Amino acid sequence: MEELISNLKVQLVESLNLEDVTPADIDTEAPLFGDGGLGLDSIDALEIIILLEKHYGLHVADPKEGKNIFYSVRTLAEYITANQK
Amino acid sequence: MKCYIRNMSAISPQPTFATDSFLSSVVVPSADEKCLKAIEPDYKVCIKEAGLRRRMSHVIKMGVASALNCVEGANGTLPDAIITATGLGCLADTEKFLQSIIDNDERLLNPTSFIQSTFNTIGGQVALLLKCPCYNFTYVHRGFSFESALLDAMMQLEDGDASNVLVGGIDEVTDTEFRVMERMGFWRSGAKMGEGAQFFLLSSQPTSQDVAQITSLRTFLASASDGTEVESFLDSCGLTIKDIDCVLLGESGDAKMDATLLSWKESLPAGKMQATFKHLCGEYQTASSFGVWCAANLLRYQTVPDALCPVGKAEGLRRILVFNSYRNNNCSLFLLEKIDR
Repeated sequence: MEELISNLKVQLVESLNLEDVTPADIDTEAPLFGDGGLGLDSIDALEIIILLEKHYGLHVADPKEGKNIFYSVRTLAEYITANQK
Repeated sequence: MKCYIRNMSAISPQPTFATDSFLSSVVVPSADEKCLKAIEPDYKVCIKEAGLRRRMSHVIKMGVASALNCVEGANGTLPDAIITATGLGCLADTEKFLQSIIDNDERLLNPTSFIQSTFNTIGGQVALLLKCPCYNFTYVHRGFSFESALLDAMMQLEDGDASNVLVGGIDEVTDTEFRVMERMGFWRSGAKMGEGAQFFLLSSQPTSQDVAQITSLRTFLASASDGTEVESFLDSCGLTIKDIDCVLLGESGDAKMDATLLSWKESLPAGKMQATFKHLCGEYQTASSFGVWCAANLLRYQTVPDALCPVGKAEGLRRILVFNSYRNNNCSLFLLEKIDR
């Protein structure tokens, strides 16, 4: 799990082009969207959907699931672990 | 149909951004350097919104920073029309998006490069950042892009549809574009590829702070030229070549591609002051905007810097004719005049 979290942070910084943010700066538990975390927006959500499909072969079919899956790096990692074949 | 340049800004391969000097020091490319890349400012200072900035590609940052700088220096004057011009638009994002289509077999396409790849991205971002939901238009007319944008701006001002118009020309260099054009035979005979973002805040009414006035412009195709276009243009302004103090030429360095311009140059009266600008900015579809920026500065500073390779003499700089040519196809003429104070 820790290795997956570490990889996810690198991939997020890269695919979202986060300026002045290193993977080490990302709090695993902090919210990705809105205040108090990385402050990502709806376009970033689309980029994360692509990231999950491209790197982990996972397709988020139900948009309602997204809010919980995309809450933090940890929830993303848990979703990947639970669903990756 | 004249307008007044309230303020202007340039990001180019020369130190032209946010400076009070006019080409007092320049970057001279080596003979084998075929590509002139812009000297970029610190974008974190120019574009403070990190959320928007992180998604912007090189050309968007250049355009937005130049546009914002132009407006910021105009003592609070906001545009009521934003008109941008580009030959190839957000090329790097377009290449990225197309490459992604190939790499991913037309699936899993990243939204950001798609969203940012459209030609009007810069005009849209400028409008968002300035909070100016006004007339917003982008001209993509190859070598006439900037000319079309400027003509629209002048007509907006003339018709009273706008009082202040922000107009700019932006293009970027990418490695792919350079290689493709090189394979097509470009850049082999002296011309260098270039890039830049020049913006002008134009007003219908003069103020004491204006840089210069743009009196007229005309475009013509080299293929349809009968050699009388310049005289006809000046005649339409009630002038002859004797009334022009300096001719600023957009020679690319490739004699074949400059044929129409060079042919006319030979007819200039002996001693007529001439200068050139494309060796400083490189050749690109909207390079004429750099020529207009130089001409306006010549009128502002009343001196021709050595960097523009002046030949001949002039007693004061009152009227400047800019003659630009792109690939011996798109030719344009701009008449700029000093503002009497």
